[in-house]
Amino acid sequence: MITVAQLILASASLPLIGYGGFIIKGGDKIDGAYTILGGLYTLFAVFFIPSGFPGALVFPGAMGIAAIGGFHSYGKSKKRGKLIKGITLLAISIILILFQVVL
Amino acid sequence: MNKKKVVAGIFSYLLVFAIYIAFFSYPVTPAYIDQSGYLNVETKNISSLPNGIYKVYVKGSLNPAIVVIATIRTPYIPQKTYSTSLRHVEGIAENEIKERYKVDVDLVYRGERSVDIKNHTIVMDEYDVYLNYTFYAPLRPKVIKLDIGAYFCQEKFESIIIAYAYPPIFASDFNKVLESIHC
Repeated sequence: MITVAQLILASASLPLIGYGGFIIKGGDKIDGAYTILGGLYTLFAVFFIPSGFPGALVFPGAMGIAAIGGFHSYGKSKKRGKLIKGITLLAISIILILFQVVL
Repeated sequence: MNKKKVVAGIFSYLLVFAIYIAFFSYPVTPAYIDQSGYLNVETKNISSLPNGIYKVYVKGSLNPAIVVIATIRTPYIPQKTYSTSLRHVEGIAENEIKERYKVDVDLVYRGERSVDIKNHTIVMDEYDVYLNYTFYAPLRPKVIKLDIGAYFCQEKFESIIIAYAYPPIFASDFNKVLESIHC
C-alpha cells in the first residue's frame, strides 16, 4: 500500500526531472540527462524502500548522480561552472549521508 | 552557464530539500503494543523534525515492567551506534525506571541479541540496570534488564524504537511484548 509519506518522498523526483528537462532545452544535454537520471533514481528508489532499498541513500544518491553529470559536462566543455556544480553537489551529498546517520 | 540556469538549479534543489522537510515533519502514526497487563500511561511528542512520538506502557506497580515505544518519521532504520533518536529513547527509559522504582540507576552494557519480530530482525542492546536503593527494600530486585532496539516499518516509512525494562518476574513476557507491537 502506498502511503502519503511515500508519495511526499517520491515527489522529490519531480523538481529534478523538471530541471533536467529545462537545461536540456537550453542545450546542456549531458548535464540535463544526469539530472533527469537522478530524478528517476529518486522515484524508483522510494518505491523500492519497502523491499529493502536503503532510504538514507535516496536524496544523496540523486545529488551524487547530478554531481557526476557536472564532472562529465566539465570534461566535455571545460566550463568552470560545471566543475563547481559537481564539487558542490558531491559535498552536499556526503554531508547529507553523515547527517542522516546521526538523526 | 547562464544566470537563468543557475537560479533554476538552486530553486530546484531547494524545492527537493523542502519536500524532504515536509516528509520528515509529516505526522507519524504511533506504534503500540497489544499485550494484556501493559497499560499505556503516557504518550508524548519527541520532536517535530523528524516527527516523533513515544508511548510508555507499564505492567505492575511495585516492581514494574516498562516499555517505551517510539515512532520516528524516517525513510530508513536509524544507525544503531550514532542515532540521537535511539539515545533519546534510552534516556526516556532510564528516567522512567528511576521514577517508577524511585532509585538511582547504573546501566551496564551486556552485549547484543537478535530478536525476530514479524519479518523484522532487530538487534537489541542488552543492559543490566543496577538499582541503588537508599531505603530498605528486601522484596525488590537489585538488578533489572533493559533491552533497546529499532526496526524500520516499511509499510509506513517510520522507524520503531523499543526500550523494554523488566524485572526477573516478567522475563517471560519479553517475546510476547515484542510480538504484540503494531506499527
